[in-house]
Amino acid sequence: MTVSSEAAEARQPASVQEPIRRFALLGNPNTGKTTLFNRLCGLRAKTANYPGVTADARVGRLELGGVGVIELTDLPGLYSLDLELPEAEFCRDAIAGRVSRCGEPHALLAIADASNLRRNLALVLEVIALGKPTVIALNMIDEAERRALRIDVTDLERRLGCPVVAINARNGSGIGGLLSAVKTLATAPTLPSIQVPVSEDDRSELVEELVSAVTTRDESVRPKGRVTDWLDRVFVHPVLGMGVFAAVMSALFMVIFILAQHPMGWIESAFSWLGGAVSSVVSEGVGRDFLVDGVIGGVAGTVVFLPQICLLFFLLSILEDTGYLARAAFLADGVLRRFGLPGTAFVPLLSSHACALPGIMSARLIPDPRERLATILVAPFMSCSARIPVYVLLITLLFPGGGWRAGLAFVGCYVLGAVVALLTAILVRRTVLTGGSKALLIELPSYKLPSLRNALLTTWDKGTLFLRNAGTVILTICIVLWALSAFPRSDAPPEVATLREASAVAASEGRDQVSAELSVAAGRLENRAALRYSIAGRIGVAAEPVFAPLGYDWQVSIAVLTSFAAREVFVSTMLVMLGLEEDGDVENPGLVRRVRDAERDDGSPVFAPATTGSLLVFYVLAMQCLPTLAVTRRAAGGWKWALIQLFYMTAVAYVAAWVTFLIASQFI
Amino acid sequence: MKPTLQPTAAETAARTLVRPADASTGFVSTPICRLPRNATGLIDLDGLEAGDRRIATAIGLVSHAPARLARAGRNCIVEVHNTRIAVTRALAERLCLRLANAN
Repeated sequence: MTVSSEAAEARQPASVQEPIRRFALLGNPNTGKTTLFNRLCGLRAKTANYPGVTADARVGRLELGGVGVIELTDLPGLYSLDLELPEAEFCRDAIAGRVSRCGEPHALLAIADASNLRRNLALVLEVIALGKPTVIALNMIDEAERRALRIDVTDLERRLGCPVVAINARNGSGIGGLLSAVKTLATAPTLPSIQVPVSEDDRSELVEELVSAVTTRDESVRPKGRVTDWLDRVFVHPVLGMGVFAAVMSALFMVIFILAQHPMGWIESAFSWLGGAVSSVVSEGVGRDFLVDGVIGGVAGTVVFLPQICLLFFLLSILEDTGYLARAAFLADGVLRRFGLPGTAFVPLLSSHACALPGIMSARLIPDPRERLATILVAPFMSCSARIPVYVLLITLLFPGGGWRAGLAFVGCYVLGAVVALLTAILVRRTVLTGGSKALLIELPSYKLPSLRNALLTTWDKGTLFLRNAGTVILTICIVLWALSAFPRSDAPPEVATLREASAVAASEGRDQVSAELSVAAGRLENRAALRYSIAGRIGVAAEPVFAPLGYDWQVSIAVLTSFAAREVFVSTMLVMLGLEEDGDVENPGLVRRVRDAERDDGSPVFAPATTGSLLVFYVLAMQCLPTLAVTRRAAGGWKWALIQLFYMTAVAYVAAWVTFLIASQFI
Repeated sequence: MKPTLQPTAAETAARTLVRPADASTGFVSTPICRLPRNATGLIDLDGLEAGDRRIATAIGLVSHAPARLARAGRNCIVEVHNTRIAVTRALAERLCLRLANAN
C-alpha cells in the first residue's frame, strides 16, 4: 500500500481541534531545507539519536508569540515518500509516530524549490495526501526569477488549499510570513482542501496542470545555465575533473591534518595543566590517580578528536553548499565502483586518513545501507594521524639514517592500509554484504556561494553529537582501561627506595642535577614495576605466547595490549617498559638509540629488525582504537558490526605481521 | 587520435536496447551513453527495472519529459527542466532518449 492510499483512508475532517505543537519539515534534497531549519531554530536544535536507524533527524524549538514553543523536526531530504529507500522509510515512520523518542508530528512544513517546481510539487502532493495540516515554503524564489520563471504564489495557494509562502531561506526574506502561516495553522488547524489523486499517473497530470497554471516564463530574460555548463565541463571531466578532485581533496585532507594539530595541542596542554593542577591539590593515592589518569585522561582522550571532527564537517558543509560535493561523488564513483563502493564513499575514506572517527561519521552521506556499512568497515584501515608517532618510532628503528628508504617505508604504510581497505571492500561486498551496487543517480545542484552560518551550525551540531554519543562511551572505556593498568597496586621494588635515598643524599650535598636524575630513574622503575604487576601487565605477560610468533616479547606484548584503546599509547607504554622518558620525543636520536639497544630478559634485542617490521605491519592494519569502535557501534546501529570490524582487523593485522616476521627473519 | 575501445558486454547489451523507429511517431530510443553531448530528446524509462524507474521518476527523470545530454560518455549528465542529474554507467546503458528519426 502506498503512503497516499494509507493517508486517503485515514483522512480526517477538515478541521483539527487539538492544538498544534509539533511540526515536521520535509522536502527534496538541495531545496534549502537545512538552511530553513537553521534559520528557524538556530542553536536551539540538536541531532536526534534514534536507536536502530542510521538516518539523522534534527529536532529544534521555535518560539512563537501567542502560541508558545513549537517543536520542529528536520527529516532527511527525500524525493518521494513511496520509495523503498532508508530516508523515505524513516520519514514515513517519523510522520506516523513510529520512531521511538520522536513524537508524531501534528502538522507538516513542506519546503519546495521554486526553480524546480515540477519535481518538488510531486513530493508536496504526497505530503498533502498524508492528511495533516500543511504549510508550503516556496524557497529559492530568487533563483526561479533568475531562470526567467514567474510563479503566481497566490494562485498556487488557492489551488492547493493550504498556505504557500515564498521565502529565501538564505537571506531570511519571507521568513516572517512563513512564521505567521505556521502560527495561524497552530492556533486554527485546517487541512488542505485539494483532493490528491491516489493513482501515480493522475498525480503526475495534476502536477503538470498546476505548473502550467501558476508558472509563466519571461521570454525577455535569458535563462542562465552556461556557467554551470562550463564549470561542469571542468569538474566532471574524466581527466581535468580528476585533477580538480585530487587538488580539492588534498587541500581538505591537508587542512584537517595540519590545522587541527594546533587546537589538538592546545587541548592536550590544557588537560595536562588540569591534571597537574589536580595532582597538586589532591593528595597522592588511588583517588588522585583515578581523577588525573582515569577521568581527566579519559575526557582528554575524547575531546582531543574534536578539532578534526569539527574541521571536517565545517569543510564538508562548505563543499556541499557550493554544489561541488555531488560532482566529486559522481567522479569518484567510476573508480570506487570497481571495489564495490559508491562514489560517495570517497569522503569517509579520505577523512579517515586524518582520523577514522569523522570518516565513519561522514559515511551517513552514503544512501545504500550495504555500501554504507562496507565503507564503515574498511575506513579504519586508512592510516590516520594517530598512527604517525608509531610509524615514526618503528621506521626510525628500522632505518636509523632516515633517507629515501625511510620515506618509502612511510609511504608504504599508507599504501598498505589503502590496498587492504579496498581488498576488504571487495571481500565484504562479495560475502557478507552482497547485493548489486545501486546505480548512482544523483542530482547535481546548481553552483552557489556557501553559507558560513550553515557550516558553523552544522559543525556545532556534529561536534556536540560526537561528544554526547561517542564521548560517553569513550570516557567509560578509558576509565576501565586505566583501572586495568593501575590495579592491583604494587609495592615499589627495593631498588626504588635505594635510588630515592641516593637522590635525597645528592640533594643534601647540593648536586641538584644528579638528584633529579636519580629521582626520575626511581620514578621510571616504579612505573615499570607497577605496570607489570597490574591486570593489564599480567595479561600482557600471559599473552606473550600469543604474540611470540610475531616476534614480540612480554614487554612489547604489554605495549600492544595497553595500546588497544589508542594506538599512540604504544610509544609511551614502550618507553615506560624500557625505563625511558615517558613523554620522550620519538625523533630524538639519543632516545631512539636507547630503544634500539633495549634487551630482552635473555639479552637479545627487543627490537630486532624482523620484530620491528612485524610491529609496523601490525600497527598499519590493526584497529587499536576504542573510540573508532564506539563510533562504528553508533554508525552501524549496534555492537555486532563494531565487534566484527575489531576481530577482522585484528586477525588481518596478526596474520600479516606474522608473515612479515617469517619473511623478514629469513632475510634480515 | 582517439583510441578505439573494445565494447564491454554491458555496452553490447546496451546497443541491443536501441529500438527501431516507431512507425507512427518516427522516434528512435537510444541509450544516453551512446549519444553525443547536447543531444535532445524525450526521456524513455522502458529499459529500466521497476525500482530504478521509480527512483528515476522521483528525482525528475520523468517519462516523455524533454531532456538534454549535458555531458556525454559512459557516465552522463542529463538536464531535465533545469535540473542536472548525473547518471552512472550502469544506468546510462539502459536509460534512453527518444530522438526524432533522421531517416
